[in-house]
Formats: sequence, C-alpha cells, structure tokens
Amino acid sequence: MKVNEIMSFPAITEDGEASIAIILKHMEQSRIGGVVITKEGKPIGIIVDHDIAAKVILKDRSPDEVKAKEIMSSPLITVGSDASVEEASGLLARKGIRRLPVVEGDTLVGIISIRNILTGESVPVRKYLS
Amino acid sequence: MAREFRLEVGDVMTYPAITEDEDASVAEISKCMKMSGIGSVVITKEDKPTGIVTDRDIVIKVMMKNRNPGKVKAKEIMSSPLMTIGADTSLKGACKLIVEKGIRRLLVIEDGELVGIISLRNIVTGEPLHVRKYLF
Repeated sequence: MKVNEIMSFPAITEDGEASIAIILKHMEQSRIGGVVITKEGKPIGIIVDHDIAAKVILKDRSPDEVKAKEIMSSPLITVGSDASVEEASGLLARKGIRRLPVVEGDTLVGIISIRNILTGESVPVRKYLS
Repeated sequence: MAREFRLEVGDVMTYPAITEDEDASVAEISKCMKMSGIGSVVITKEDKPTGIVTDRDIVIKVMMKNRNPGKVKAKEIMSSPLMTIGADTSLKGACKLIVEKGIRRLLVIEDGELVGIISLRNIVTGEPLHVRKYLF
C-alpha cells in the first residue's frame, strides 16, 4: 500500500508569522495534531501538540505572543506520496515521531500519521480559518 | 485552551478509560481504537490495570513486523508500568510529567479508581472528550 492511499489531506498550513493561538485553533477546529509552517508559501517546519506543550505551556509563554516560526520543528522530515506505508512506518519508528508531511515533488499533498497507518483510512481535512 | 492552567486534569481528560483484558488480541484492541476514536487502550488483568497499548505499539511491534494481529496478545506488546496522575493535579503538572517522560498520555486516578486518560492533545486544546466502548 502507498502513502497517498491512507494519508490525511490536504495538510493544513499556516505562515511562520502566525501566533500559536492561531495554530491551536487549526488543531481544534480541523481535528488535527500537526500544522505545517510555511514561509512565502513554502513548507519549512511543523508544529505538533508536543511543541506547544514543551515550548509554550511549560515555559509560561502566552500563545498570542509566540510566533509559529519560534517553536516549529525544522527542517521538515517528509515522505513521498508514492512511498510504501512500510517505508513511512520505518521513518516514524526511527525518528520517534507521529506524523510525516507527504510531498509530491515540491508540492505538499498531505500528512501521514501513526493513526492513519493503524486504521488504514485516508481522512479528508477541512481548513476553517482563512 | 492553553491559557487556562488553573484547570485540573479531571476537567480536560478523555473519559472513561477504555480497557481490555491482557489476553485480548491486538486485532481486537485495534478495532476498539478505531471505533472509539482513541489512540490507546488500558490493559487489565483480573480487572486491574497492568499496562497500556497505543496506536504506536501496534504499528511498530505488530504491523511493521508482519505479525498477525489476530494471534498477538495485548500483554505481549503493552507498555508497563503505568504512569498515573491524580484527577485534581493541575494541567501544568500533567504537562510537565508528560514532556519529561517523553510520553503522550497518563492514566487519571481518582480515589484509587481509573477514571480517564489525559493526553497531550487534551492538554494543548483544553478539550475534555467523552468516549464510549462499542461492543462487537
């Protein structure tokens, strides 16, 4: 099975200048665990719930005052959309992470997570904030 | 949301904790996770919590190794000992423990009883979640 058969799509993105409060809104409303961070429209990092817990909540920083680019994990570890699910699982296991942005050439097309692999289900995602 | 740290663990946990016996197959645990929309199941022995199986355990220890989920038992792949936290602990205290231990979730205990699970997602979004176990 290939990654693009079971990924969540599209990947929700937000600019690096956005506040963590905005990133949190995306996570809540779109029911997702990771937001890909862009600079001039190009993916440069990712923020997952762990980043917010460790770098904002535990540091007593205000989500309104911290920018996405300050706490994102970067560089991005990605996987090709036609890679096998086994390959993606191996990468997730070795890196100790839960999700990988999926790319087709230079284009970001989705995210594959441990949950997608467990359920074998592709999940459509809606972006609620413009 | 991340602002309200006066909240306690009991206010934002996922409840109740979904449990399965240690002799249940991984196929059953997997189905339970899918149907209830959860990422972990607490494993019990004679109704006492002894470990936890997460979606990650199943992917890495069963699917990647091409083992048959119908033949592997929960107790073979569960993580133990269990990490627990009191329902009246502050959210920040739970957050600290989770980050320090490098894990995603803690079992929530109230008066000696398992009452729920608190995950990084619960903490970060500040949203409690009511789940149910589907019988099949």
